[in-house]
Amino acid sequence: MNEHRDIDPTGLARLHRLGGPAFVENMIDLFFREIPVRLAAARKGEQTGDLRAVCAAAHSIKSSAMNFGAISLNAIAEKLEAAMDANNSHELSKQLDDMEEAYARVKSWLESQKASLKT
Amino acid sequence: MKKIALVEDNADNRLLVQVMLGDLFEVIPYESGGEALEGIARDKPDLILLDISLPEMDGNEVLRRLRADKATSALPVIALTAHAMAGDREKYLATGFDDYVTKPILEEEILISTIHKVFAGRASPA
Repeated sequence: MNEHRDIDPTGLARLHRLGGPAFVENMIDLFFREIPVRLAAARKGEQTGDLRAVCAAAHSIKSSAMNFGAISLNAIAEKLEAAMDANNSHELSKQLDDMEEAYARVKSWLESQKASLKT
Repeated sequence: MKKIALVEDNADNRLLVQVMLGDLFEVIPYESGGEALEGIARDKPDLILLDISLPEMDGNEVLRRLRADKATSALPVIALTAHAMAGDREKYLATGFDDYVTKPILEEEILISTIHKVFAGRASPA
Protein backbone atom coordinates (compact mmCIF):
# COMPACT_ATOMS: atom_id res chain seq x y z
CA MET A 1 0.00 0.00 0.00
CA ASN A 2 1.17 3.49 -0.75
CA GLU A 3 0.69 4.74 2.77
CA HIS A 4 1.66 8.31 1.94
CA ARG A 5 -1.13 8.58 -0.60
CA ASP A 6 -3.82 6.81 1.42
CA ILE A 7 -3.18 7.74 5.03
CA ASP A 8 -2.08 10.75 6.98
CA PRO A 9 -0.62 9.11 10.09
CA THR A 10 -1.08 12.28 12.11
CA GLY A 11 -4.81 11.44 12.23
CA LEU A 12 -4.22 8.36 14.36
CA ALA A 13 -1.59 10.19 16.40
CA ARG A 14 -4.16 12.88 17.16
CA LEU A 15 -6.66 10.29 18.39
CA HIS A 16 -3.93 8.74 20.54
CA ARG A 17 -3.12 12.11 22.08
CA LEU A 18 -6.81 12.74 22.78
CA GLY A 19 -7.70 9.49 24.48
CA GLY A 20 -4.81 7.05 24.62
CA PRO A 21 -4.58 3.50 23.24
CA ALA A 22 -7.90 2.18 24.57
CA PHE A 23 -9.74 5.06 22.89
CA VAL A 24 -7.87 4.49 19.62
CA GLU A 25 -8.80 0.82 19.74
CA ASN A 26 -12.46 1.72 20.36
CA MET A 27 -12.44 4.15 17.45
CA ILE A 28 -10.89 1.55 15.12
CA ASP A 29 -13.45 -1.06 16.20
CA LEU A 30 -16.29 1.40 15.51
CA PHE A 31 -14.80 2.15 12.11
CA PHE A 32 -14.63 -1.57 11.27
CA ARG A 33 -18.22 -2.00 12.42
CA GLU A 34 -19.76 1.07 10.81
CA ILE A 35 -18.07 1.44 7.43
CA PRO A 36 -19.08 -1.98 6.00
CA VAL A 37 -22.68 -1.13 6.92
CA ARG A 38 -22.40 2.20 5.06
CA LEU A 39 -20.74 0.55 2.06
CA ALA A 40 -23.54 -2.02 1.92
CA ALA A 41 -26.12 0.78 2.14
CA ALA A 42 -24.44 2.55 -0.77
CA ARG A 43 -24.48 -0.64 -2.87
CA LYS A 44 -28.12 -1.19 -2.02
CA GLY A 45 -28.83 2.39 -3.06
CA GLU A 46 -27.10 1.74 -6.37
CA GLN A 47 -29.18 -1.38 -6.97
CA THR A 48 -32.47 0.31 -6.11
CA GLY A 49 -31.68 3.66 -7.75
CA ASP A 50 -31.87 5.44 -4.40
CA LEU A 51 -29.22 8.10 -4.90
CA ARG A 52 -30.12 9.81 -1.61
CA ALA A 53 -29.18 6.64 0.24
CA VAL A 54 -25.87 6.51 -1.62
CA CYS A 55 -25.30 10.19 -0.80
CA ALA A 56 -26.03 9.66 2.90
CA ALA A 57 -23.68 6.66 3.07
CA ALA A 58 -20.90 8.55 1.27
CA HIS A 59 -21.35 11.52 3.61
CA SER A 60 -20.97 9.31 6.65
CA ILE A 61 -17.93 7.47 5.25
CA LYS A 62 -16.30 10.80 4.36
CA SER A 63 -16.65 12.01 7.93
CA SER A 64 -15.37 8.81 9.54
CA ALA A 65 -12.45 8.54 7.12
CA MET A 66 -11.22 11.99 8.05
CA ASN A 67 -11.17 11.10 11.74
CA PHE A 68 -8.42 8.59 10.88
CA GLY A 69 -6.58 10.66 8.30
CA ALA A 70 -7.76 8.24 5.58
CA ILE A 71 -7.17 10.73 2.78
CA SER A 72 -8.06 8.60 -0.26
CA LEU A 73 -11.20 7.14 1.27
CA ASN A 74 -12.29 10.62 2.33
CA ALA A 75 -11.65 12.07 -1.14
CA ILE A 76 -13.51 9.27 -2.95
CA ALA A 77 -16.48 9.53 -0.58
CA GLU A 78 -16.55 13.32 -0.95
CA LYS A 79 -16.54 13.06 -4.75
CA LEU A 80 -19.28 10.45 -4.65
CA GLU A 81 -21.40 12.57 -2.32
CA ALA A 82 -21.04 15.56 -4.65
CA ALA A 83 -22.01 13.43 -7.65
CA MET A 84 -25.10 12.15 -5.87
CA ASP A 85 -26.01 15.69 -4.79
CA ALA A 86 -25.86 16.63 -8.47
CA ASN A 87 -27.97 13.59 -9.37
CA ASN A 88 -25.05 12.26 -11.44
CA SER A 89 -24.86 8.46 -11.30
CA HIS A 90 -22.86 8.07 -14.51
CA GLU A 91 -19.81 6.54 -12.77
CA LEU A 92 -21.55 5.25 -9.67
CA SER A 93 -20.53 1.61 -9.99
CA LYS A 94 -16.85 2.46 -10.47
CA GLN A 95 -16.95 5.03 -7.67
CA LEU A 96 -18.33 2.39 -5.32
CA ASP A 97 -15.63 -0.06 -6.42
CA ASP A 98 -13.01 2.62 -5.69
CA MET A 99 -14.51 3.36 -2.29
CA GLU A 100 -14.57 -0.32 -1.31
CA GLU A 101 -10.96 -0.74 -2.42
CA ALA A 102 -9.89 2.36 -0.50
CA TYR A 103 -11.63 1.03 2.61
CA ALA A 104 -9.84 -2.31 2.25
CA ARG A 105 -6.48 -0.51 2.20
CA VAL A 106 -7.37 1.62 5.24
CA LYS A 107 -8.65 -1.45 7.08
CA SER A 108 -5.41 -3.31 6.44
CA TRP A 109 -3.38 -0.37 7.74
CA LEU A 110 -5.59 0.11 10.80
CA GLU A 111 -5.39 -3.60 11.63
CA SER A 112 -1.62 -3.33 11.76
CA GLN A 113 -1.86 -0.18 13.89
CA LYS A 114 -4.32 -1.85 16.23
CA ALA A 115 -2.00 -4.83 16.65
CA SER A 116 0.86 -2.50 17.51
CA LEU A 117 -1.22 -0.90 20.27
CA LYS A 118 -1.04 -4.18 22.16
CA THR A 119 2.73 -4.52 21.97
CA MET B 1 -20.93 20.40 35.46
CA LYS B 2 -22.99 21.69 32.51
CA LYS B 3 -24.81 19.21 30.30
CA ILE B 4 -24.20 19.11 26.56
CA ALA B 5 -26.57 17.19 24.29
CA LEU B 6 -24.77 15.70 21.29
CA VAL B 7 -26.98 14.77 18.33
CA GLU B 8 -24.85 12.82 15.85
CA ASP B 9 -25.60 9.66 13.88
CA ASN B 10 -21.97 8.62 13.36
CA ALA B 11 -20.89 6.43 16.28
CA ASP B 12 -17.21 7.31 15.89
CA ASN B 13 -17.99 11.03 15.83
CA ARG B 14 -20.07 10.64 18.98
CA LEU B 15 -17.24 8.88 20.79
CA LEU B 16 -14.72 11.45 19.54
CA VAL B 17 -16.73 14.42 20.84
CA GLN B 18 -17.44 12.64 24.13
CA VAL B 19 -13.70 12.21 24.68
CA MET B 20 -12.98 15.79 23.64
CA LEU B 21 -15.52 17.27 26.05
CA GLY B 22 -15.76 14.63 28.77
CA ASP B 23 -13.48 16.39 31.28
CA LEU B 24 -15.38 19.66 31.03
CA PHE B 25 -19.01 18.76 30.46
CA GLU B 26 -21.49 15.95 30.95
CA VAL B 27 -22.10 14.83 27.36
CA ILE B 28 -25.42 13.14 26.57
CA PRO B 29 -25.36 11.44 23.15
CA TYR B 30 -28.36 10.93 20.85
CA GLU B 31 -28.22 8.99 17.59
CA SER B 32 -31.09 10.63 15.74
CA GLY B 33 -33.23 13.73 15.65
CA GLY B 34 -36.25 11.88 16.96
CA GLU B 35 -34.33 10.39 19.87
CA ALA B 36 -32.89 13.83 20.63
CA LEU B 37 -36.25 15.58 20.74
CA GLU B 38 -37.52 13.04 23.25
CA GLY B 39 -34.31 12.98 25.29
CA ILE B 40 -33.72 16.73 25.43
CA ALA B 41 -37.14 17.30 26.97
CA ARG B 42 -36.25 14.73 29.64
CA ASP B 43 -32.52 15.41 30.19
CA LYS B 44 -32.67 19.22 30.06
CA PRO B 45 -29.20 19.96 28.67
CA ASP B 46 -27.62 23.42 28.88
CA LEU B 47 -26.54 23.40 25.21
CA ILE B 48 -27.03 21.24 22.12
CA LEU B 49 -24.46 20.19 19.52
CA LEU B 50 -26.57 19.29 16.50
CA ASP B 51 -25.34 17.54 13.37
CA ILE B 52 -27.00 18.93 10.25
CA SER B 53 -26.82 15.80 8.07
CA LEU B 54 -28.91 13.43 10.13
CA PRO B 55 -30.93 10.69 8.43
CA GLU B 56 -34.73 10.90 8.44
CA MET B 57 -35.04 14.18 10.35
CA ASP B 58 -32.15 16.53 9.56
CA GLY B 59 -30.62 19.06 11.92
CA ASN B 60 -32.54 22.00 10.50
CA GLU B 61 -35.84 20.27 11.19
CA VAL B 62 -34.72 19.30 14.71
CA LEU B 63 -33.83 22.94 15.35
CA ARG B 64 -37.18 24.11 14.00
CA ARG B 65 -39.01 21.77 16.40
CA LEU B 66 -36.82 22.80 19.35
CA ARG B 67 -37.51 26.48 18.66
CA ALA B 68 -41.25 25.80 18.32
CA ASP B 69 -41.45 24.13 21.75
CA LYS B 70 -41.67 26.55 24.67
CA ALA B 71 -39.66 24.18 26.88
CA THR B 72 -36.68 24.09 24.50
CA SER B 73 -37.01 27.26 22.42
CA ALA B 74 -34.32 29.19 24.30
CA LEU B 75 -31.68 26.45 24.39
CA PRO B 76 -28.39 27.38 22.73
CA VAL B 77 -27.74 25.17 19.69
CA ILE B 78 -24.46 24.81 17.80
CA ALA B 79 -24.59 23.27 14.32
CA LEU B 80 -22.05 20.58 13.42
CA THR B 81 -21.61 20.53 9.68
CA ALA B 82 -19.33 19.12 7.03
CA HIS B 83 -20.82 21.49 4.45
CA ALA B 84 -18.68 24.51 5.25
CA MET B 85 -18.52 27.26 2.69
CA ALA B 86 -18.10 31.03 2.70
CA GLY B 87 -21.17 32.63 4.22
CA ASP B 88 -22.22 29.48 6.09
CA ARG B 89 -21.90 31.08 9.52
CA GLU B 90 -24.35 33.83 8.58
CA LYS B 91 -26.68 31.26 7.05
CA TYR B 92 -26.75 29.11 10.20
CA LEU B 93 -27.16 32.12 12.49
CA ALA B 94 -30.08 33.31 10.35
CA THR B 95 -31.65 29.85 10.63
CA GLY B 96 -31.60 30.12 14.42
CA PHE B 97 -28.39 28.38 15.41
CA ASP B 98 -26.16 30.13 17.93
CA ASP B 99 -22.98 29.15 16.08
CA TYR B 100 -21.50 26.35 14.03
CA VAL B 101 -18.44 24.10 14.02
CA THR B 102 -17.07 22.45 10.91
CA LYS B 103 -16.50 18.70 10.83
CA PRO B 104 -14.19 16.89 10.97
CA ILE B 105 -13.37 18.40 14.34
CA LEU B 106 -9.60 18.05 14.25
CA GLU B 107 -8.81 20.16 17.30
CA GLU B 108 -10.92 20.03 20.46
CA GLU B 109 -9.94 23.63 21.29
CA ILE B 110 -12.13 24.94 18.45
CA LEU B 111 -15.17 23.07 19.73
CA ILE B 112 -14.55 24.00 23.37
CA SER B 113 -13.95 27.68 22.59
CA THR B 114 -17.14 27.83 20.50
CA ILE B 115 -19.16 26.32 23.36
CA HIS B 116 -17.68 28.79 25.86
CA LYS B 117 -18.34 31.67 23.44
CA VAL B 118 -21.99 30.67 23.08
CA PHE B 119 -22.42 30.32 26.86
CA ALA B 120 -20.77 33.71 27.38
CA GLY B 121 -22.98 35.32 24.74
CA ARG B 122 -26.11 33.97 26.39
CA ALA B 123 -24.92 35.11 29.84
CA SER B 124 -24.32 38.71 28.77
CA PRO B 125 -27.14 40.05 26.62
CA ALA B 126 -26.12 42.44 23.83
